[in-house]
Amino acid sequence: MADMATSSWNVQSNLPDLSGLSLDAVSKFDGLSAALTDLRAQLAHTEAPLCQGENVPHPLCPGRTGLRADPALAVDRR
Amino acid sequence: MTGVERFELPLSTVAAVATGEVGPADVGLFDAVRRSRLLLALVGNSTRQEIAGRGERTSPHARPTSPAQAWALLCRVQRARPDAVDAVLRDPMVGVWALQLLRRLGRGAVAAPADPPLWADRAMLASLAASAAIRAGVRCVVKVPAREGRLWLPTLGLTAKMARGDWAVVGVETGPHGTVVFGDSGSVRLPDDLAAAADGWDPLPLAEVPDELEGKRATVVLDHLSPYRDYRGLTDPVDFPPPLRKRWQRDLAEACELLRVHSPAAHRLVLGTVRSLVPVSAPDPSRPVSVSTPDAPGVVTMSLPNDVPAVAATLVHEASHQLMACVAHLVPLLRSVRDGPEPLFFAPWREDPRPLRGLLYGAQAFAAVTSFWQAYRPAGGMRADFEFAYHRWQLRTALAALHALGGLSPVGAHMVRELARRNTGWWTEPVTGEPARLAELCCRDLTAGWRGAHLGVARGDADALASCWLARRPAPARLPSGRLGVAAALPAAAPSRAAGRLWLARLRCTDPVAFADLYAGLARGNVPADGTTPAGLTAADCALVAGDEAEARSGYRAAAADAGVHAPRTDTWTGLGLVAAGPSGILATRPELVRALYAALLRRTARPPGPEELARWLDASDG
Repeated sequence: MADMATSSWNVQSNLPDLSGLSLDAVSKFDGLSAALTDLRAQLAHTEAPLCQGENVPHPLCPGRTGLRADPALAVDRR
Repeated sequence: MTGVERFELPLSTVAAVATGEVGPADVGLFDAVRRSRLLLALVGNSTRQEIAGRGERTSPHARPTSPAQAWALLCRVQRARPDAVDAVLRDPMVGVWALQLLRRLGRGAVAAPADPPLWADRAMLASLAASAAIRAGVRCVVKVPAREGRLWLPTLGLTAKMARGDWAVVGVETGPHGTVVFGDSGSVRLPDDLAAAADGWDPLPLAEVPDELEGKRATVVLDHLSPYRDYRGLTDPVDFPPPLRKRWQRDLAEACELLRVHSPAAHRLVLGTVRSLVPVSAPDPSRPVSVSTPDAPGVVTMSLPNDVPAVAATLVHEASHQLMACVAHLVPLLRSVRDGPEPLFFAPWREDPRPLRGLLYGAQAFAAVTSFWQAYRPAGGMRADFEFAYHRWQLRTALAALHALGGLSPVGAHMVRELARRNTGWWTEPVTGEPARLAELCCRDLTAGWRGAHLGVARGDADALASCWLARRPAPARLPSGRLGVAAALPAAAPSRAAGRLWLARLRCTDPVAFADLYAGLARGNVPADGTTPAGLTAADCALVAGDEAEARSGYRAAAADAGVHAPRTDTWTGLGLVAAGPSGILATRPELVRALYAALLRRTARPPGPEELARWLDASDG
């Protein structure tokens, strides 16, 4: 733990920083396959939700599940 | 081919996450990590080989736009209007869908009951493409899966039912002159102002909140529509009536303003991490709901707390979880768990035993909450004093456990050290008078409830104690230990009354008149039935919270006496233990011991003595 004695150190992650890439570029970057494998491995360990209490959410408006009624709408394909 | 850098986690960020004193770079890291994981998942989900041999491949109805075509459309829209794609990719529900699908594909597409069919789940990429195209005004036609015939357009909203069947395919035609959605049972032209409700169209409501700079505004989505918003599985849209919506919008705006004024770092943390709130109801006023899920960065599921400061504290709590989960996505915070059941511990904010991960995440979140209440003390009166004292106890208790336990990775251990080092000033900060008394009461209450519910005493040890009692000998000098994993001797009250008494303590701090009215009403036997008061509260609970010890003791004694010998009211025993220090205090400090002794005596005698008599006998021990 001596290597963490100073806050000027950085810890290297395996996750590539793709935040600046376009969608065109993101499917072509070096290391895509390994990064996907890592992400799948992370997701394989399902992370439980983090809750302030053991309380289970209830529906917002019990007994009121419908939004507006189905519309009888005219097709307009301008 | 493009080379990219891997993320580096500065230890200064670990320290900032520990203390809640985050800067723009720290919340920027959250966004970059979220986006990078999302992009990886999108690529993984849209790659053709990912679905080879993985369940049904197409719709039994019309064929939806393929993931490859949808991806190509998204790329085309991004080249024309990158902001439109960015907006869609910033919708946290898009991340929820993408990560869940990648997990599903990774485990072989074994469907859970609430999962959509695989063809629909994969083809949902077309929904993202449609949203981006609509935002950008890019001309296109796509066919998109629609649950119950309703089309979900991320960041925008939900159409009414346009097609028949559990999972249908609907068409979207969009271009510079507007958008039409059509299915086999109807069609709708979306309004020009997509934020306005119209026939066949429900937009996602927004809450405007104050941004970091005074006078500027940011927005948070109030998501009651998206099918992926429930962390437990796919879910239907629910109604969100305008009066309730307005209350959420008002309380959120006021809570963020309160944070901006009193705790700027917390305000930055909340606005930098929380994008969507999923409003739900709480099962009881004393049991608020607030949940974050590591695979849903930016989403907080919560019920609306009773007052604005509590809304602010809840947002800080959940935003802390969001940031912590981001750190955990970069580097492990715990060492790998050996095979076998995960060890569980007392987490001083939950009534159930929690794993080490829960203890660590909770400590970090409550450090931020404690920091908020400390900052709010000059303006927050008794309530802020109480909350500060209560939460710092939670933090201190958790840190003591985390220091004693193994299992943390080097980064996790560093975070715990930072949590302890940065907050040492809190331990000695004075809190006096009624807030201090109430905080101490609530801490003892939570501990007592947890011990009574989850600790047991080995049957042989309990029988030996019973033998001593029956032989009229003093209790042994060394009393047996309560242990997790040994069944509790008597069933605990469910739910515990600690949450109700905590609610009462808060009411006493914020609204003494309402507290007094409730106390008087309960004393007369009037139990409020309008859902605004926690279930099961008694006048004795009010007396305890009010510091009226004689009245509380009398009430708990009467309730204990009313219960049958074979079905004792252990919740009233806890109440008796909480009334005051002294011999009966062991009913609160070691309730599992009294209960084990009572159960052992019940196995051998027809009528064991009452809890206070047993407590006095045990208390005379030196153990």
